[in-house]
Amino acid sequence: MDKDIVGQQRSVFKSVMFYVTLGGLFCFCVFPIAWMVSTAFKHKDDIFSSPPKFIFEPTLENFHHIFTEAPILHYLQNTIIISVITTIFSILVGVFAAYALARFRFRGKEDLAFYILSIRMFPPIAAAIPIFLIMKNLGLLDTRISLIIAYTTFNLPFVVWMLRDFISSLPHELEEAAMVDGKSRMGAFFGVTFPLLMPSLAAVSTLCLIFSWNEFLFALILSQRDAKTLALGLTEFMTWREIGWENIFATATILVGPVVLFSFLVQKYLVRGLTMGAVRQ
Amino acid sequence: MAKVTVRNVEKYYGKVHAVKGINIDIKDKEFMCLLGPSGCGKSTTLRMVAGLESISKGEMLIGDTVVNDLAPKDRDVAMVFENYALYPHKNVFENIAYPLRIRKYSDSEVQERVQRAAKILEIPELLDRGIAQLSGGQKQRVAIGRAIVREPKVFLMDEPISHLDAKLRTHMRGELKHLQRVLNTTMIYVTHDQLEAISMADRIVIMNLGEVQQIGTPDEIFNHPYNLFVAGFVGDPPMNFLECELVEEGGQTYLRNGGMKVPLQPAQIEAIKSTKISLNRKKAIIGIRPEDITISKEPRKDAHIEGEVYVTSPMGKDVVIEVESKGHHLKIITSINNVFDMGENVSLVFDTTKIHIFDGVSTRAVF
Amino acid sequence: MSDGAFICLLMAPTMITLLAIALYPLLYNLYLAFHSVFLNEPNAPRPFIWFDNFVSIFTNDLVLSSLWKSFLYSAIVVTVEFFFALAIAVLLNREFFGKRFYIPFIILPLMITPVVSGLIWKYMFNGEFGLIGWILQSFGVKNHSFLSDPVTAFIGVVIQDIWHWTPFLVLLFYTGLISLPREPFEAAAIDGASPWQVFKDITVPMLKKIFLIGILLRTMDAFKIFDEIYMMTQGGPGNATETLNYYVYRNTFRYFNMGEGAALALVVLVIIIIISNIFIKVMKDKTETAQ
Repeated sequence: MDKDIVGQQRSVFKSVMFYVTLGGLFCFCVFPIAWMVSTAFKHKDDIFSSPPKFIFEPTLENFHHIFTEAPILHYLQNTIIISVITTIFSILVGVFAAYALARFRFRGKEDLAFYILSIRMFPPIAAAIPIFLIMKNLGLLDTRISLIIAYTTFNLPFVVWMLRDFISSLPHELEEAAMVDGKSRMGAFFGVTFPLLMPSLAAVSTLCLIFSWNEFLFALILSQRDAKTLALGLTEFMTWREIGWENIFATATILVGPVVLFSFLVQKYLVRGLTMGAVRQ
Repeated sequence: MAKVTVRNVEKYYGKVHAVKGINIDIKDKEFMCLLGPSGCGKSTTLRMVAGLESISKGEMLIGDTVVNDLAPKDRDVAMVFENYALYPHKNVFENIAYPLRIRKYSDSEVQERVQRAAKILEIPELLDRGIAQLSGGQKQRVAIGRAIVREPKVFLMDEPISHLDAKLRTHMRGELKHLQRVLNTTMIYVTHDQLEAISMADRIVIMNLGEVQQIGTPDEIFNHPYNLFVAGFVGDPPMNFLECELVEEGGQTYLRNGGMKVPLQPAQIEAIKSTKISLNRKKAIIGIRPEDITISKEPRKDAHIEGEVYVTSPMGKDVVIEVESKGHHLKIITSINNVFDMGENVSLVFDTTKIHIFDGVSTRAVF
Repeated sequence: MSDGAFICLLMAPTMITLLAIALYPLLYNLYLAFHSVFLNEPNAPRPFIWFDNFVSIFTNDLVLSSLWKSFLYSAIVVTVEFFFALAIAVLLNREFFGKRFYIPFIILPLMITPVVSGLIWKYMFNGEFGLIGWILQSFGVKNHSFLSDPVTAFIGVVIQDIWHWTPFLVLLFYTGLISLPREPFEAAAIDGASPWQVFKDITVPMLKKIFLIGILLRTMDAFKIFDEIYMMTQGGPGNATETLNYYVYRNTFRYFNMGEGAALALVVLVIIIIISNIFIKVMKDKTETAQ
């Protein structure tokens, strides 16, 4: 802001304090995560020691355990399948609605768009109870399909709303020029605009994957064993007797790793995605 | 009110040498224009006067004080920005009043000064409006109002009217010049529009590529340009240039380009010979303004060039005729009453007293 | 094909899907709220009971206290996170060594799955082997099992929330700060404003929309919080951290009173709808004024 304006030099003391504050902030943010990951590599005895151990001998036995003696791999598969399918479905269905809302003018268009947005913001609990009963009646409890359906309730509106925003910001003159050159409307859209939409599609898809991956409430209510997701799988090691922290954090590391990676990939779109397009980066 | 002195000032942006050692002496109460194309360093120089950019080398003085290390607020300057830089959430009154509010002027004092500024700028009815509702011209005036309400030592203006429509711009030129006289304060005005500079300034500094090309009154700049750049930059339509060779033949000295021969007057020959940088390798450039060429349909004996009309562009009472001759294009201004058609053959006669001669290699003016 | 028919064709898959999986459940929820439905008695009749469910929940102390807890929780975390994030965003809004490398790490807590965030802090707060428990013990604090005491448990969840969500507001405010136009600040420098005056008179007013968006979004999310409470305290000790959302879950899936659960869910829904409508209004406002 005031980078080059004359007379705004900072004293050495202020500089030092600045970097000290930055450093403190860094520790505060990163330490808990580092602590978790380090715990995943600790032997069980090291975890329960008091005072806590900072220096230890790392081991992979927890990761080995969760994949061989606990159904974590199965849960991971569930999470992947469910997240991917709900995302693909939402994108395939939603992109057309987004296009309609972005490019056409019709009565009630704005209202419809905002209704769709508000579905996205509903508290999961309001849908969880009826969906639970519906799935029970359909005999679909503890199936992957029930979770796919449940997740689509928030992914689809998200896709429609975000893609509408992205498509709107692409100049419609491109399609018009293509139509004048002889393409049909859909042909113009798929030939001209769609390729330009790729980065946005990738970003929105990634965000859907992240939301689905992190989801917990629906998984808790709708799944038990067969369709249990990885997030829910964290409770696998929480019996009434004890909590297997070493296994939990190993699982958590597997859970969180891809999410953090994906989040980094969509960093540019993070603010836009999390604020429903209200703020752009 | 104060004079401003720029002494050997240079500005580096990293490795980029944006301003390369310039010297300007601006007199107290003077309307000084910094003129030049985009990227020439004029805005950078203005911002260095303001304190918005640091000075890499050299000295900047306001009055008799060296201000290199003074923060903008301590330099007692006021600035009008190209994009107005108004505070979007404050209304017009508060925008103009802000500099006074910061300095804790009393409410009555603020009222009085703001009203006075608004009156000068003819915007008293806008005082309680929000900024978003204003037109470009109105925002412009609010920005000026904010500057004049403080009565600073120097006014700085960075292309203040370049975003207004053409008609408003013409009007504002007169208004701003009048305003400067009324305020009787030093003003440094940056623009890329040579017409603005010529019509408004007491003196002009023409810059290009970070260097000062010439400093002078509008008349000096227009009639006695130092070099090719200045000659070509000022004047609309711009000066015509023709590359020539200096030829001495049969006792006569003239400049030749293909079929064109321009005999030289003794004074011109004298000027060429007396310059230390004599015409390198006999290469010269002739400059002649469109208004200094006579165009006629009949072939004339004293014609310098013959050609064909390429296109005519009427401009109210005048017409600009572009003539093509052996690949050269020349523009001539003449009265609209003289009708010429495209493709017509014409003869051109230069007013030899108005010919400018430039060294073909250094582009410095010789005559 | 006419435009109208084409639009219908484009919108149809989405609308049908949403009608089936979103609207229908909501209507079903509405139905449930007015009936007496117990899941543990699947063959019992389901009479229409007017507003009995609602009366029942609004006279229930636990419901009211959980509602209060939700409001309290939201108010505290949003306020603390707001000022915390603003300070950090302002701090980050300058050039410093390693900036590009630094910012992703500050955002990191935001990217952690909510349940995992809850688990990390549950672990750190643990009285016997948790890091914070140990630190407290070293300072001589007697009862160092943070999550066992009603008051400190609440604070513990709050602290977790602050750690997890402040980066969201930091990112938001920082985005706002760097997109502010440079010129008004230059004008202010020339006009003579001090850094504090610039912040107070220019920066903050220009960020009002972003502040509003941040507060609304965070309030909605704070109200909906579930995953972290499930992991950290399960609403306990006692009911200390049982916010409304969590209460609905626990009550419905423990006592299987679907009718009442649906009614409660409606209450949550209505509150969220009110807040989200304000948010949508702000968004509409934004798109109408030329930026």
